Amino acid sequence: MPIKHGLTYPIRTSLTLTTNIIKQASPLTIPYHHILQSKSQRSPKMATRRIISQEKTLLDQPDPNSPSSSSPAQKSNITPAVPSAVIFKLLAFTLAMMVVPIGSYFATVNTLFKGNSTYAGGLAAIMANVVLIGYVLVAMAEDQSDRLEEEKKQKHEGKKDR
Amino acid sequence: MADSELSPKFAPFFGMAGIAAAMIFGSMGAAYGTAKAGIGIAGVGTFRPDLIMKCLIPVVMSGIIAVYALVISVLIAQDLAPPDAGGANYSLFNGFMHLACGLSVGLTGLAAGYCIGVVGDKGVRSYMQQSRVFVGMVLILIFGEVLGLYGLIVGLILNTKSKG
Repeated sequence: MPIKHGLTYPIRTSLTLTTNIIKQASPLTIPYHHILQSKSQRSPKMATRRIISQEKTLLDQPDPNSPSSSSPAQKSNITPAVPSAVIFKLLAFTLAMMVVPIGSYFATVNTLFKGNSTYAGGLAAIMANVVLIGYVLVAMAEDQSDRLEEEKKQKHEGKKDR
Repeated sequence: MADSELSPKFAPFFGMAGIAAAMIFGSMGAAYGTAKAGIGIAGVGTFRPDLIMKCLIPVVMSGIIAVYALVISVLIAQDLAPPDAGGANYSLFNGFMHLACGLSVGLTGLAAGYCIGVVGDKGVRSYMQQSRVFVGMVLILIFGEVLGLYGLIVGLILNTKSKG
């Protein structure tokens, strides 16, 4: 937000200020500009002008590389949207889908089935379906646990946004 | 023995064609199912990210189609051998039989993957709006995926005939 420019001075601020000055067609020089802005916060007369100058240009966007964007006031939420337990579950099922059917085929074709590859192939197909059923069950449990947790949270803290 | 009437030189061609047909068509079906269902999941995920876990079921099922093709390909490939290692006795019957194995698994996999893709796309979009669709969607997906399983069963039964 441009209001903050009076407090912090990243390098790009001067660029932002010059664009603001061009917009307002103001004769003010650069160092006094932030004073005008902080004044205009208080005076209702300047409110319309301030809104115009607050229109976000490309330069006004928070710079992801600048340290000022990580100030505690607008600290971005970087916790992953998907909890890590779910990601590990998905990775486990991906690995299981790749390894279990073909692995069970090669593990049993010469040991359990004594070279009868048809039974071993059938077992591989069955194992693939076992992985699928396991996935469906885990997905259902995931959904239910989510709902239970949400209900518990709502009971504790009242209405809370999802 | 090598170039007899029952096991001509070109007989392994059909076995190889069976392997290729199983993998190619099966993977085509699996790819269509994954991609079409993935489109639906991407559409759902923007509105209800919490449903993604359950909506991934058609993708997992498409993966199973490819596993079927992989299993039958491994089975056929075990019966093939280069001429020096006993493959000279590979009969034309075996070649055609392996082609039938590969085509039955591959083309049923293509059908099942197409079904899973269409049902998965529309199903997850409907599931976003009405949660009771889920059971029906999973049932339809299972019936679609069973088509590929039937092809695999036929392929496995056919594959036993090479031993006798």
